Amino acid sequence: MPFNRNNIANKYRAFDIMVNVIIPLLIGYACYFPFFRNHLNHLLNNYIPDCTWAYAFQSAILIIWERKIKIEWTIIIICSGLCFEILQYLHFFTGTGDIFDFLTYTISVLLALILNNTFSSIFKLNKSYDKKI
Amino acid sequence: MTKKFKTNVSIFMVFTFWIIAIASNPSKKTFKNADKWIPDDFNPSKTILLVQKFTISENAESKMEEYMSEKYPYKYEFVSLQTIRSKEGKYSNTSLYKYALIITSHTTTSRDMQTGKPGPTVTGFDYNFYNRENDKNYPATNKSSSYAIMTFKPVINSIVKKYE
Repeated sequence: MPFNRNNIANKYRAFDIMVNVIIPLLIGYACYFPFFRNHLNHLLNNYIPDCTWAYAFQSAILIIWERKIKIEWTIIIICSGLCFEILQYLHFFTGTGDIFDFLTYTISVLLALILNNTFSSIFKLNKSYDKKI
Repeated sequence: MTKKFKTNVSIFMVFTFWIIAIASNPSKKTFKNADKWIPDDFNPSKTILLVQKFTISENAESKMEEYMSEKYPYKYEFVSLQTIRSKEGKYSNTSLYKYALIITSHTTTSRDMQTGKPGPTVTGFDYNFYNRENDKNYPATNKSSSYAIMTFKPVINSIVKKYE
């Protein structure tokens, strides 16, 4: 099989998307299943979906920008969370606007930014290896 | 990937995540502070919950009754506040009819800062548990709404979620 210049980088990106976007979203989604609703703490059950949503959102943006932090997009993500809570508070969406939800979004975005260093170093390693090939 | 392409994909992501947020936003809206207003010893499977009738609007009242029949799997009865408080006749058994969900309301009138004239009046409806055995009122949810049904539904959802 001939080497494709982007093979390893693409594989890494797929891995990155899986670990940092798909799996967190699936974890958040799973919290709505009765099994998890019955076995998880009430508070955890409420905040995990918010947490994984914001983490996946920030990670997706970081992956698109090749793990370079774009502050304008981070602000858009945090504002999205804020807008969503305000719209819930104003009853445009079901749910209750909650400052703790907004804090959860912000902390999760920060977590994705902190972990960005780790994932970006792996990405750089893969990219340099890819160029050598 | 060019910057323009990345920007477009990022905009697409913003839309996608908004759709995910809206789609996963549970229609089973609950109040996260349920532990603060649901009595610790409330057991919906062993007692019959009395729910105060919302006499202000027949339409809202029928919607509440409909919602209860759909969502609340335990026994309940809609009665007047007077019946809840009186403890007479059928409802004198305060062990069986131990708790009632009663409506609290508060009215706020805004005032024009310049003229000092009163502005629009807004009424907020909230719910709280009432222990009929010892006449104890529990805290309200603190999530009042101008439409009682908007508070009523998550109150019921929160109770159901806690005991499912």
